[in-house]
Amino acid sequence: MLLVLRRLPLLVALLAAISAAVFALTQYLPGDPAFVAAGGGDATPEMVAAARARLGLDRPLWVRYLYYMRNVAGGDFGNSIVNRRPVIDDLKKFWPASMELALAAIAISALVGIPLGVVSAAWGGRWPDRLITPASVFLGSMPVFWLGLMAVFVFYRQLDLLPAGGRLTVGLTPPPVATGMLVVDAAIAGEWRVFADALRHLILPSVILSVISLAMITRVTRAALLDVLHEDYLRTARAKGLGEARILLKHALRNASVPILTIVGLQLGQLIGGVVVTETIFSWPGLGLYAVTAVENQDYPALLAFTLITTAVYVTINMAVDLLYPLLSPQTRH
Amino acid sequence: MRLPRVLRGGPFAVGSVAVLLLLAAMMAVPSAFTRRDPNAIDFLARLKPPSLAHPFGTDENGRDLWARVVHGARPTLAAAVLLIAVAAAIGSVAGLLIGAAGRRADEWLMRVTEFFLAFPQIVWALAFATVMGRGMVNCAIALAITWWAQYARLMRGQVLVQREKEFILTARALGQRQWRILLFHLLPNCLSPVLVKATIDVSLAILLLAALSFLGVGAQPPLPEWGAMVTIGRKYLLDYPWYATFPGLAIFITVLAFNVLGERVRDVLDPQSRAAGRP
Repeated sequence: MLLVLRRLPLLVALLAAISAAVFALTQYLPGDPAFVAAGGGDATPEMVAAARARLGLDRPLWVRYLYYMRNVAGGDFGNSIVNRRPVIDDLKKFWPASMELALAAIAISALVGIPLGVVSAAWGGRWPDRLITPASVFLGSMPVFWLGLMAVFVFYRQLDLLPAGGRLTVGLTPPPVATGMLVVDAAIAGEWRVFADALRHLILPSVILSVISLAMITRVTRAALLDVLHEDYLRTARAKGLGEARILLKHALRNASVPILTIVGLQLGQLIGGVVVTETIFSWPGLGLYAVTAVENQDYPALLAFTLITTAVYVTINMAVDLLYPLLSPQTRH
Repeated sequence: MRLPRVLRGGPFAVGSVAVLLLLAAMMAVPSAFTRRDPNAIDFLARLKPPSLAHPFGTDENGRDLWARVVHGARPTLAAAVLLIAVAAAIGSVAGLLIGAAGRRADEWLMRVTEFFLAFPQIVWALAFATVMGRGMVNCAIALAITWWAQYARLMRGQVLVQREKEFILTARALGQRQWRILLFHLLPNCLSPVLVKATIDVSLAILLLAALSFLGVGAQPPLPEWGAMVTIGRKYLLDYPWYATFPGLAIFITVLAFNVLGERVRDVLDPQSRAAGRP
């Protein structure tokens, strides 16, 4: 608890500094918002000046930054230039889709990656290891967007097994909103046809998104296990006559858990960038697609809000991982 | 004759070096690999599948995709290598100074690097390039702005370990000046992990820059950059799959070569890590 309190000011300072940096970037934007607000082409210099004062654009940068942050603290990220709606409404609408995708991906990479790493370490140097370790380098070298496109071609165009994009087949009614994650909502409502359809849409994006983290988690799990496999306590366990599987899963894996959980946590943060790319490939209507659309439309309030929020999430996840250390491993408590 | 140690790592290591030499040749003299102009438009030969005349097929303007992949090696790789070289150089110097500075300066400077490390790379580059203007250069700048901090921390850690070693003490006892110790004694002994990281980071940089092109803020047409080619190929994916396939394959093979080489360089320069990482 003390540690949390000690790290909290750092978190706040980091977020303040980063938001200031991103906000300062917007000063380099082409075009003059005051000119646009004054009506564009026919505006006289006086009208532009009046608009500038009305919008507060004549104030120094840091004053405007403080105003912006005050609004942000109240949940107001300004209005989208494109659809004129409050950005916060759009964010609320889109984030559950991203959440669903990211959670599915991290679950896949942990549930597949950790066992693969364990197998690889247990048979270190023998054929399962010689298969898994190069495969993880292979996977880790894949450009995700390209792999996604290839998967669409194979599983949609050639095999016609899975949909090419979107979250639900057009014509199906989405389940009543509980979490915003369609698979979960459909299960809660007991609408199994919708559930199956949403799940089918989720498979390709989440598997593709999981690829990079899967490779990382496999390799770190393997290395972490190899590190502890020759410890004395494992020899003791063996001498006590415990079975190999029990030794591996109970004694070794628990002692290797710190680096493994760390990498899973850090990969969750890394997924944020991957989400943007994956959502673009699969037309997945989440925050990433929202951000890319904002880039295309030069919708700066939307982009600024997206950058601030994802950075906050990223920093918080990484700090939470830091804080987990002492809980997992008594040695690092001091 | 004995092979250089990097090459004595089995077929994968040899293969990765061969691929990288081939890529270097493509960057230096693309015309040795294709006689076609990568920007020559031929509307009669639009979207043709791979054939003897066009080994990778043609794109929506009838341009030869093999020629475009060959000529694409230069922008794609140069940007990634330069980005990492700049980030590694700035970060190493910063890390050297941080490590050599006093304890209070050290703590303060570490906070600064923490700030730069706190940016999610793709998101930051996306915002930066949208505001400052699209293109590979701005994407590379955005990535370098945050990337140097990783090298600074790596270098600082090395300096803290190495400066307690006897040879530094000896140099100091011999009355060497501080800057000479830093530059000629400390720096060379701290460089090998930086080299390993830089090799692997080039592959990451290629992937990130290609992803940014895919998102529309990186390389702009008609530059034959691989990521940008995949992006346009996406529009034709379902009926003309070769368009997106070959440039993406080029990225994959290049990244793989850098990763394999990076692992091999690590084995050669830092044999202890073998115990943890490899059997």
